[in-house]
This record gives sequence, C-alpha cells and structure tokens, in this order.
Amino acid sequence: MKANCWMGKNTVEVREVPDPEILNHRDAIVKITSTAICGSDVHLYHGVVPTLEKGDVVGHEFMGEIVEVGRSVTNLKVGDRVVVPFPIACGHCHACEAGMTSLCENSNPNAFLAERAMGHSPCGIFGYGHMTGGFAGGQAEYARVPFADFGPLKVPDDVTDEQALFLSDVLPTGYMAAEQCNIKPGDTVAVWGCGPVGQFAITSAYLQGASRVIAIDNVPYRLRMARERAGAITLNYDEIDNVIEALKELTGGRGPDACIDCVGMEASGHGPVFAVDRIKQATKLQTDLPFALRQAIMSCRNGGTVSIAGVYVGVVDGFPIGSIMNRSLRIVTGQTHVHRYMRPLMDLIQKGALDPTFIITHRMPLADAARGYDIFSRKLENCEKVVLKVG
Amino acid sequence: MIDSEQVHDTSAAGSHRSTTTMNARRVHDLAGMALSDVPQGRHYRPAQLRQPGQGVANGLGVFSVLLGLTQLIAPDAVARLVGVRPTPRSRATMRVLGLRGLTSGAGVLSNGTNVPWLWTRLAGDVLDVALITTAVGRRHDDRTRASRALMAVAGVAAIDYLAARTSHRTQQLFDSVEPEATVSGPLEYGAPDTTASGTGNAQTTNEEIGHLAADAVAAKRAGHRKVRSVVTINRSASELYAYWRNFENLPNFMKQLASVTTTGEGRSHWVTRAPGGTQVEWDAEIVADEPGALIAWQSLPGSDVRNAGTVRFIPVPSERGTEVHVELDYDPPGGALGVAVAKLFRAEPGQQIRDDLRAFKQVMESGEILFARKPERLEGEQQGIGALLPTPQDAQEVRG
Ligand SMILES: NC(=O)c1ccc[n+]([C@@H]2O[C@H](COP(=O)([O-])OP(=O)(O)OC[C@H]3O[C@@H](n4cnc5c(N)ncnc54)[C@H](O)[C@@H]3O)[C@@H](O)[C@H]2O)c1
Ligand SMILES: [Zn+2]
Ligand SMILES: [Zn+2]
Repeated sequence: MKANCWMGKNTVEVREVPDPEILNHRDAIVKITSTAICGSDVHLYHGVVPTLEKGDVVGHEFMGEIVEVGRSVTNLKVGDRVVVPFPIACGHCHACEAGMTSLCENSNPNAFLAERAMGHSPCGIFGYGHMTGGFAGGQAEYARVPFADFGPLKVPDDVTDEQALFLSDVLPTGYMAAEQCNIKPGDTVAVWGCGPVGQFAITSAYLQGASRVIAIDNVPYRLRMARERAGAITLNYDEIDNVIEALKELTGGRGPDACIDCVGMEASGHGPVFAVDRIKQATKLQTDLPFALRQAIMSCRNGGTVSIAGVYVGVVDGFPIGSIMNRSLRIVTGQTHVHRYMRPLMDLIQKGALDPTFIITHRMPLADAARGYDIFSRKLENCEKVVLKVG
Repeated sequence: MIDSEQVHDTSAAGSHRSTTTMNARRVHDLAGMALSDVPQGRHYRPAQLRQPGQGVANGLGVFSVLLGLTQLIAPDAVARLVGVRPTPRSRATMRVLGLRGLTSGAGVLSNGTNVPWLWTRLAGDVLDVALITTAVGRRHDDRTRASRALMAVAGVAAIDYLAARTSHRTQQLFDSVEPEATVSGPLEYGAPDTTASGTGNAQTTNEEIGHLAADAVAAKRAGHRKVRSVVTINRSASELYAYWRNFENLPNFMKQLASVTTTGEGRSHWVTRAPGGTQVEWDAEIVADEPGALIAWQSLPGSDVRNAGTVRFIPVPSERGTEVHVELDYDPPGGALGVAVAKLFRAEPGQQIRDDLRAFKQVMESGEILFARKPERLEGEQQGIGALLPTPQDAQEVRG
C-alpha cells in the first residue's frame, strides 16, 4: 500500500510499504478514506520529537471503512464507517476505566522508553515515534487499529467524512482544553495559537459559557478565521510589545480567568528572551520553547487556570513556577482523552450545534502529502488544515 | 497461611538457601514491599545502591553551580581570569554561560547520575570551548591565559564525558538488579509479623538482622542474583492468583519460557526457550501457597539452574486493583550453560521481570499482549505468545 513516511528532518514521502495485518485478536484493519495533517505532525516533521525513525508511517487523524476484524472484535463488522481516536487504549485498565484513555496502561509496548524519559508512560499513539509504541500511522491507504472493539466510533450515514474526521483529535483536543478550565458564565478566556486546535478551543470555550474569548497569534489569515468563524477578539503579538499588558488592559487589569496554550513546543516569538530560549534549545539545555506557555502563565488572573493543549516533549528553562505558586494558578494538561469526547461531540455535530468543517482550507490526494506538510507548516496559501483524501 | 510445620529455618545456612525451603517470614520479606505492609508513621528506606559515578557527578554539579554563579555576578572578573578583555559583549556572553552552568549544575545535583543532565553539561562544555577558542584567536586578548582556560575547560569536558559514559553504563546495569546485600529495606521499619494479621508491628530482633546479613554475604559470594518488580493490576487478587497458580499459564506472559508442565503434588517441569541452542530446564516445587495471596516456588536439588520465585497479591484499598510483587532468586551456573542463562535473563535481569509483569498485566486486563508491529519470528518456538495471536483463518479475510 501507499503510506506517508517520515524520511528525515522536513521530509515526508509517500512510499510503497507492506499492507498492515491483524496481529492481535482485538485488531481491525481500516481502509482509510480521509486523513488530516496535525500540528503534532509538524513537530515530527521538524524532527523535534524524539524516537521517530526514518521510514516510519506518520499520521494520527484518520477515518475509513472496516475491511477486516480480529477474533475478539464483535461490535464492528466489515463495511462499517468509523473514525479512530489517536490514543490507543485498551478500555479495561484503571486509567481507561477512569476515562483517561491517553494514559492507558496497556497500549504502549515501549513503555520502558517513556518511563526513562518521563518517569511513567502515557498510552500508545499512532504514527508518533517509538516512545509511544512505534505504531504505523494513518496517513496511508490502510491502518491496523489495535483494541478496535473499544476505540473507533461508528459514523452515522448522515454525517460526512469531513464532519466526522476531526473527532479523531483536534476537535476533542480543543474541547478538552476548554473543559479543563471549568469555565463559568461570564468568564474571559485567552487562547494562544489560532491553528486548528486553537480554533476549536475558542469554539468550545463559547459552547461552555465563556463570555469573551481572546485569541493570540501573528498569522493574519489565522487571526481572521478566529474572528470571523470562531468569534474571538484577536491580538497580533507582532503588533504589540507586551501581550501580558495588552491582556490586562482588556480585562480590567485582572487578567483572563483561563489561559489556554494551543501553541506547544515550537512557539515563535521575538525579543531577547526568545533569542536566549533559542540558544538554550540549540545547545540542548532545553528541548522545548516555552515562549507562549510563559505568557499564558504570567497573564492568567490570580487563582485562574492555565490549560496546556500544545505538545511539549522534554524540559524547559526559566519556567515561572513562582508565578504559579504565589498566585494559586491551576495547571491542567494532557494528551487528549479522545474516547470520552467522541460520542457527545458527534451528537452536537448531528444536531447542527457544531460544524467543525470551517477549519478546512485544503483538500488533496494522499500522494500530495509532502506539499500539504510544506504549506501547513510554513503557513503558505492561507493554509489552516489539510485533509488528505485517500482512494 | 503457610503451614509452619513444613518450614525449615534456613537462616543459618544462607548459601544453601535455594535448595532448602524458605521460612514464611523470609518469603514475605523477599517479595518486595507493599505500602500496606508499612505501618503509618514509620520511616521507609528502600534497598538501594549508591551508583558508581555519583560522587564525580555531584562534584561536577557543585562546580557548575559555583562557576555559573560567579559568571553571573562577576562576569568581568571571570573574563579577565580566562584572558578575555571585559567588554559589554563578553559580559553578556559570560552571563549566558553562567546561566547555562547554573541550570545544568542544578540538574545534575537534583537528578544524580541522570544521564541526560550529564550530557547537557558536556554540551555546555563544548560551548565554552568554542567561545574561548574565539577569544584565543583574537589579538588583543591574553592568549596564554586563554589557552590555559581552554585546557581547563577541555579537562572538565573530559571528566564530564567520562561521568556521562560511566553513569550511562551503570544506570543500565543497576537499573533494578539488586545484589543480595540490600535486605535492609524491609528491616528499616521492622519486618511485618506475618503470623499475625499480616501488617503487624513486630520489631525485627538483632539476631534476625544478623542472620539476614550473613545470608546476604554468603549469597553475594556465591554470585547469587535477586531481582524484584511490582505492578498494579485492575483485577481481584483471587483472579490473578488463580491464573498464576496454574503454572502452565506462565509462558503466556514470560516470553523466555517455552513451557511449564505441572506434574502433580505442586511440582512442575520448566523449559526455557533456548537462545543460543542450549536448552535450559529444571524441576520446581511449590514451597508456599496461600490462596489469593502468595505463591512461592523453587527448583529441586540437582537442577541446572538453582532458582526460586515468589509472587504476592496484595489488594489495594478502595477497589484500585491488586499489587503483584514478584521476586526471583537465581544462581547463575558456569560454563556454556551460564552463558545461556545470562541470555535468558538478559544483560538487565531486572528489565526481564519488569517486561514479564507488564505482559501479565496486559493479559489480565486487556486480554492480549499488544504488538506494535509484526514480530520477526512467530514459529512454534514463540508459541506462548503465539497462542494469543489469531491464526490467519481467525481473521476474516475480506480484503481483495
Ligand atoms: N494535547 C493533545 O492531545 C494535542 C492534540 C493535537 C495537537 N496538539 C498540539 O497542539 C498544538 C497546536 O496544534 P495545531 O494543529 O493547531 O498546530 P498549528 O501549528 O497549526 O498551530 C499553532 C499556532 O500557534 C501559533 N503560534 C506560534 N507561536 C506563538 C506564540 N508565541 N503566541 C501565539 N501563537 C503562536 C502559530 O502561528 C500557529 O498558528 C501543537 O503543539 C500540537 O502538537 C495537542
Ligand atoms: Zn494531532
Ligand atoms: Zn487501558
């Protein structure tokens, strides 16, 4: 089959690889119809996520049709249309039973690697390097889906691929990022990053009762989408000296009740602090750039919540722990527990209360994946989200 | 509870331990600690080794922090010291270097021989060398001093490199292998009185400590190995006990075993997968068996590999599953067999038992051991795990 493989820094290539096979009783094989490129894939593309190997099949946002099921999969049959959550989860461990599927204790065969790096291991993830299992990803014609009797959600006939696809990751991610803030009516929420995750965090914050959402980015067309499609008040950090002061001004001096980081480890920025951060990253004194996260912390009102949806992989320097401690901030974060949001969000989509398709700016065949990565990562051609059509 | 009649006191003859039965208290002590064993308000010091290389690493950490602070507070003085004329630029550079030293030094100190931090230090050293080399190349600076500084930094870099290398190796080696002389953990708060409720407060007597220590020394001399690990499984103690108690199930999650055949009266025949062609087998018998709580077994006299194992199942309060504590003891034999056994338990024996327990958890919770990709060999040899795999007919072949 054809699959999009990571071939080194800033290089992906659609290549011929062996078809996936059923390896465990609870597996299913999905013939992929639509798959998307995520901000997390961009971190992989840039080579900043450890343990990715040349030739690995990437992609973790995908959906399609069941073509084969293992002996223990009784709830799905050949021909079912499904959307697949990016975290691989068994459904029976303590974490899964608690609904925290991205912490599944049985889905990462390379847990020992993650334990060395992080103390304990999160779940296995499709196409996300070997520290999270080294599972082949979903930017391909077929994918093997482990624990298929627990993960995939059947897609009703009246829901299109484009409506359902983002249930695999970015929609639940934006939703959880907001939900973890316990938004109360009247709250002001600030969102860093107007990529797909940021757009959905804004949308979700409004759905959850926020009265004002302020969005921060420096890419004009993304800020426009946040304003026009998600209803945010936007700030371009290139135009202002001090984001923290600007937010104070907009919130009567108190700061936003909740601050959501939808940027992650490759934040851009300017000024001396950013330069020092880059030097530290280049000399391996830190792996991640905490530029947006630091602003989110410093801006948050006393006693407020900082929610981290952006991905971080290692260590950062100059983390304002004093600001967190002395001002009673609450930090909430995690890889998204996608499973628990898929059904309720599908309901909202079916009822017409939520239309996630507004973020799609580009549709192209799988064969053009490399071009998709290029324009999405460099923010060319007003690209917000690329959907790859397969078959 | 173990019938104490059956139990021989072995504490005086440690070196023969694996051919005689363990007493009940020892069995419990050896199977690792559960939090429920530790009475409230007691100090717990786990059995741990100071890693070789720790001293050097700590020294480097302190050096880093001190130098870093000096560079931050008195950048000009440090610049002059290494032969660079103080300028606003040198001041800024010194401060960046100071910050770097401070972070990596603090990292080393708080993480011990944590390898990434040591490599971080090394990266910093390389940066220093590069900067000072630039200074050496410049005319108006004091070249002799700068060269001297360069030598010093290069020296520190070499030590960093060695420390990082040694720690890397010892970290691999000591990750979880604990030589016998570390039974001190359980003794720290007094061994649990297993004849009473199981969580009693009985203080261990000096005599017992003496015996255990003598045991430990004898065992260490004999090359005795002991590994232990623990995992929490979301199943009841009785379910887990029942699965384990049927030893024929063990190869389902212990991939180094080809088969275990029970032969009646608590006896069993164990056959390992032969890594280098040398088949290793032995007979074992159950020496302690508390339904739902504990199983201990050991090889019969005359076995190829003298070994013993204990597994304890301890329910976690508030329906949080069951802790499974396993400890294995074995005496590696010499010769070709020894090599085969070493392979069997891998270079890191602790890793093997950890993997086995993780696999046990997977089997009990999710019903299968998850593969990330197709294993290289799946012939009859890998039956144990193969048994969990579907045969091609099992999967509905529908894809054209
Ligand atoms: N927690 C999860 O489970 C999960 C799931 C999906 C994605 N993610 C992560 O979420 C993040 C965003 O994903 P995405 O798909 O929207 O990616 P994206 O790259 O499209 O979006 C990131 C946006 O942040 C902006 N940005 C960069 N620096 C900034 C700064 N200093 N201040 C404000 N904005 C800044 C960029 O211009 C860009 O628009 C990524 O880190 C991704 O890995 C996490
Ligand atoms: Zn993603
Ligand atoms: Zn699970």
